[in-house]
Amino acid sequence: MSIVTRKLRATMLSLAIASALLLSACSSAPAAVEPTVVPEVAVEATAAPEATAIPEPTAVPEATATTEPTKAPEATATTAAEATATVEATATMAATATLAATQAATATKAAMTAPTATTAPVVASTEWEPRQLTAKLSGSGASFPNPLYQVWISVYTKNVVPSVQLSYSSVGSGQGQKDFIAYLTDFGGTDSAIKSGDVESKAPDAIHLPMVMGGVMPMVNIAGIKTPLKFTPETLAGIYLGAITNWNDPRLAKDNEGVALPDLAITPVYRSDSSGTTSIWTDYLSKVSTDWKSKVGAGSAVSFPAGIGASGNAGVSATVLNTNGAVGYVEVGYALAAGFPLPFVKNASGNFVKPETNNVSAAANGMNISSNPQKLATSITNSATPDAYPIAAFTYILVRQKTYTDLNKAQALADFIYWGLTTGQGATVRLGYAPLPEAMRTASMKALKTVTVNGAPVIDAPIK
Amino acid sequence: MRTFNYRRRKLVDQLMRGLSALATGCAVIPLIAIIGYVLTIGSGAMSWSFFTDVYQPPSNAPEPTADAPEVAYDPNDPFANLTVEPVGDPTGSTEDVTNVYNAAPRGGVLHGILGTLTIAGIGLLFALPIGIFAGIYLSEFRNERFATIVRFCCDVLSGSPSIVAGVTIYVLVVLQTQQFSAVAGSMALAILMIPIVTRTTEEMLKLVPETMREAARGLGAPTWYSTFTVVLPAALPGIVTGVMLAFARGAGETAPLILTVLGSNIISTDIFKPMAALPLLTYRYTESPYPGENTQAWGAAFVLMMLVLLMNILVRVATRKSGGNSR
Repeated sequence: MSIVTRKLRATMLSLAIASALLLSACSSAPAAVEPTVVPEVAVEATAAPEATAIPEPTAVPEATATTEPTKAPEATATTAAEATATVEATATMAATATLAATQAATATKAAMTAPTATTAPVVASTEWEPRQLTAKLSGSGASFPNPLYQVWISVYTKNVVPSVQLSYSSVGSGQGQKDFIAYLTDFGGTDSAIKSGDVESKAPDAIHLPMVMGGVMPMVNIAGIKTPLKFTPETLAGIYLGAITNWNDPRLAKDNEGVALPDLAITPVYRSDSSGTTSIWTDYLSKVSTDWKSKVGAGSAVSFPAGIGASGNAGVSATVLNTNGAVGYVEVGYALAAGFPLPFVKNASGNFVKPETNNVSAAANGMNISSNPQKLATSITNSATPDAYPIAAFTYILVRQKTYTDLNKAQALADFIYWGLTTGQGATVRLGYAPLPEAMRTASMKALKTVTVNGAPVIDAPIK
Repeated sequence: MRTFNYRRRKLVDQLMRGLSALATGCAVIPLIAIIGYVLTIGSGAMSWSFFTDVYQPPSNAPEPTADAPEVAYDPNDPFANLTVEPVGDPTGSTEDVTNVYNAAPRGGVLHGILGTLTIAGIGLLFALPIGIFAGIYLSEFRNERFATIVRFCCDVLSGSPSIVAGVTIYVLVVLQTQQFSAVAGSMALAILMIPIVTRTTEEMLKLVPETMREAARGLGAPTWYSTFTVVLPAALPGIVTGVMLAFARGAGETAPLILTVLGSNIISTDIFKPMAALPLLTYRYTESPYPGENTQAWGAAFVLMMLVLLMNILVRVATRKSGGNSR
């Protein structure tokens, strides 16, 4: 009997130890995550928009000097406001204090003249500069704009606002949307719009901010042929539907006079993973081919009737490189990297156009831009502009219009995006991206300015 | 007749011996091929800055020299170090086009090295106490019914795909805390490490002669005392080997990290935020359009292999000394 009890006791003891260890291991994470938020935000001085929350404009210079607690508590309301401001705001350098004050002044003025500063563009005469905020921001999403975003982040965090930490992981548009909807990231990157149902049910305040444009092109590998081929909507749809199966097909030969297309089977290569590139490609094919629309349709992952699958832009590019007779659709940069010629694609006006950056940008000319900041994501494939490359699209940064809780983070993010929409556009062409046309860039900035935290706009910057 | 029989037996012996040697050779070939392949391609990325620098975005700026130092930051043209010529159509030949796409790789993987060490290290902190205590239980109370169940569960766990651990932590921790974090990655890795630590600890403790336990008991030591002062020290080198195996397994995992730590391009000191890791860098760089980064993917894989190898050797050397002393 004693043996039984001892055995029992031993089992109980070891079980208790094991469960205690397990519990401590599990509970340590959520408990420990919260306190990390506090040291990030709690510092001394203030930044612009908090000042708008304080009713008296005279409170602005005070707010910049809240480091001294010796100030007599003349009005309890102001001190309360100051207290929250101190908690939420973060170190501003002494030199930028004046800037903050002027920004605060313009902010209050804007708030007084137009309570919804969204519709009326506020053109301030002062030169805008990003605030020196301390924040850690993370985002994930589309791989297509990744090189550009990395260049932006590098320059921005090294030379413009060194106190901010930004990271962007290229995990693909689909994953980026999922992470953003689940509130796992501060911002998302995507080449295609979030499904409207998902927006309504999960992230009703998501805004798609167009940042830059890119083209998707057919990348062709036929041994011995280096001249850029010409494609029409019909031949592209035919190849991917499996109707055109040989490079010497008369429909292809008709457009490519002077090119000796060989008797070689066509191997279409498509993306096997869910991707923004596929979404752009199938959106285009659905617009130009009724057959495609009825048989396959558009989407970020569709079942292709013909060809072989490969994962990622890099996978498609590699498969095309290794297969004689293959054609695959990739973002233009991948073809450039592999040293492939840019093809011609016949656009809606009947012109054969290469996906050069100015032709890609032209695809957005003359488009209707919605005044609703939540409806900026639009398809611009098969554009009617004469010199437009027809398979073009915007790539977006996803932000939340109302549900940011950390003012400091939201301000730092808005500053970065604004910087990307202004100064940052200078990097686009140098990296092979097409800059946004002026109307879209303006619309994107206006949409960014509708972002608020507890009702207070996070950025007040001129639309320029 | 006897000679024929003898000759036949000798022949069979040689044949079987040859086949075994061949099989051994076949088993080693992939290892050598992998190391050789990673080494030859990855060496293209090797430089001093590969180990001391973090991620640098692509640029075709010339390497800074004494005569032409690096372009200083110009607020009016922040991207001066990128090509001034727009990236156009190379029309076939890439040799004469120096666009940013065929620029040499820049930057390094220091953030990945530190990240991998941090994530796998914290994972080990989670896994060690659980694994070792479970191992002690399985070995010292091996006949209990609960032990059989635990042993079975352990084997199932060690055979489960690593992505399952990633998904589990993604749902239980990442979605709950609404934050990708290095700690979440460590937990996912700990799930994979626990069965390895448990089973090796158990096996190593079983190897300790029963007579040692009996001797301790004979001197009046209670079970816990003999376990901690006699059995455990005797099995220590073996247990450490198991721990190293667990570390290597964790350090090399990609799938659970994709869902939990997200990755980063900077050195992150905050373990409750996304962090970089070598396997993640390898994975992401292979997807890059820049050939320079594709080379760096091989480089990162090489560094990861060397890191695990180095840790193994260091720990082996360390435990050989201490193991000798304690005995």
